[in-house]
Amino acid sequence: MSGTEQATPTGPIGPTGPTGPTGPTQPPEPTEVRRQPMALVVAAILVIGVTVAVLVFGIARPPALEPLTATSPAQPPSAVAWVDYAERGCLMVARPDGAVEELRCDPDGLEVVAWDAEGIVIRTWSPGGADLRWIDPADGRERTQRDDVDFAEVDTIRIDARPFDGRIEARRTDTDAVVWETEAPEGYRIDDGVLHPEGAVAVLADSAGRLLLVGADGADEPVVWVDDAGSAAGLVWEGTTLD
Amino acid sequence: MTDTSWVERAVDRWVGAAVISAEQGRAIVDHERADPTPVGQSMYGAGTAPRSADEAAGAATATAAASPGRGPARGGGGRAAEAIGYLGAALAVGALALILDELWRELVPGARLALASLVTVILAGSAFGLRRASGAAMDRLVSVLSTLAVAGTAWTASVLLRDVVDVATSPALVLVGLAATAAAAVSYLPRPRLLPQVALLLASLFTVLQGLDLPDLRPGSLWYGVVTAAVGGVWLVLGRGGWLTPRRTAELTGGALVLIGVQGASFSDARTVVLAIGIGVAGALVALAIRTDVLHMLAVGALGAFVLVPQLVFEVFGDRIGAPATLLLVGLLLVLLAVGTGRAHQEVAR
Repeated sequence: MSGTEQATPTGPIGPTGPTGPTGPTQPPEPTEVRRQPMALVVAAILVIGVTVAVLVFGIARPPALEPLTATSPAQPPSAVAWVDYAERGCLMVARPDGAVEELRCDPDGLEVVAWDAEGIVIRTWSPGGADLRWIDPADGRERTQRDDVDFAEVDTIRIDARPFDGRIEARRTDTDAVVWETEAPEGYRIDDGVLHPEGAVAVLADSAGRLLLVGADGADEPVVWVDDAGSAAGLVWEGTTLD
Repeated sequence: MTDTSWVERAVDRWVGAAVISAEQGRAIVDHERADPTPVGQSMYGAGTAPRSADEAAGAATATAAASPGRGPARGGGGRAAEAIGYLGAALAVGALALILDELWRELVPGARLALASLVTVILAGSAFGLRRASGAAMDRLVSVLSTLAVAGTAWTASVLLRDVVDVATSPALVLVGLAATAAAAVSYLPRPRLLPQVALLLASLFTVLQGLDLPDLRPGSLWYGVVTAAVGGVWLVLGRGGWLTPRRTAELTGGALVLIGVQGASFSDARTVVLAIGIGVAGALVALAIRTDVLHMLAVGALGAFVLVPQLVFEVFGDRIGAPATLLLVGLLLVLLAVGTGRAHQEVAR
């Protein structure tokens, strides 16, 4: 590419024009600077090169897992609820048969707390404070509400996951026992996980948007229960009651 | 009014060759349009024509330098009025946005789409209607309106895809980016000005980065930084090669984006290597600036070096000799910068 372009004088600038109105004129359009085809070639090479690099080295696939079937070693004992933050904070439910439903959405945000006999317990926020609402899992309608509840606890065992050296380990937070360990590409995470109240299985939400079902003893590979759970957080099993 | 078409052609040539700035060029044209005296007479006296193009260029440069960026009968007061006008408009728009935020949730998707579309059409229509108006102030206004129309297009596309059609977030954002990029291209290509060019760059960057979010497993931070740097590199190369005007804007924004991308990529496992590459890029920009007398690239390269060098020093040496070594390197960089700037000024003065 050339350096700074210099003006090249070519002779007298021009005639002195006649006086008198000539009418409105257009604003001066910027002159086309000498365009260099090599710049276009370099730019194209850069675009193609980076695109190929990203596709070959940058895009990784999550660990390949089998889908949930009737013969899978881990079976869901009940339904599970979560919040999908990728889609405006929506309350989602996955049934044991694999059906997934969106019950309700709240742009102000909501949090799943429990799932007892009265319904799915969610926490929402208003200027007056936090409220607990019981949602009908069949149709997403609100059954009852308790205002000004800032504190509500459940007794659950969460699953915590840590990536290291190209692997990822999911462990119970009570015993630190490993429920799943595998090789994982950079960027793969287990975003949330919780043990079922009966203690036999755990559900995990991974960064590929899947819900995985795994035995609590870690003896078998997880299976994919839900393929598209969005950005799942706050997993709660049906049967999780408030303290 | 005097026939100034040949002045405009001459000014175009001088601006393209970087003899004078675009702002000075507009000031010359505005000045000559307002002066009823024939151009040759007004500059050299009655019956006298410039003896050569060099003399005419020198006189024009002196006229522009004496009143940079001033249109006919305007000056500081006109600029202040324009600035106050933009400030008032920004305050009004901000207040409207706050009011709208309260009402937005109450609106059905169709009403939201109608509102966003109406705002976009008003902005785009105003820019289109004023596109042939003369004067530097109107030129700037058209640029602002067309850039706001690009933002309005993105807003409308977002409402359409997310609220009306209910497309999932990731693909919706890519489509929003494509819509904004198309609108920015439509506003920039017929009138290549600073703001529309920046809008085109940002819309393109947004689209590309949203594309990285499409796969099930997103790439690491390294690749977001690499892609950002690549977009900046393409912009810089196209600006240097004359394919994007204003050229200075393309070089500045492209160079800055390259270094921002490098900084983003440095937050990965390959931090040391990335920082080293970034320092190499910053050094290359400084060398290019000194060699070609392009001072704005000197600023970008120098800033990049000042930001990246301390990070690399601490990354390599840790806390042991990090601070003294950083001070030494920064001091050497300042010396190099001073030498380079002095040389560049000498070349410009010659």
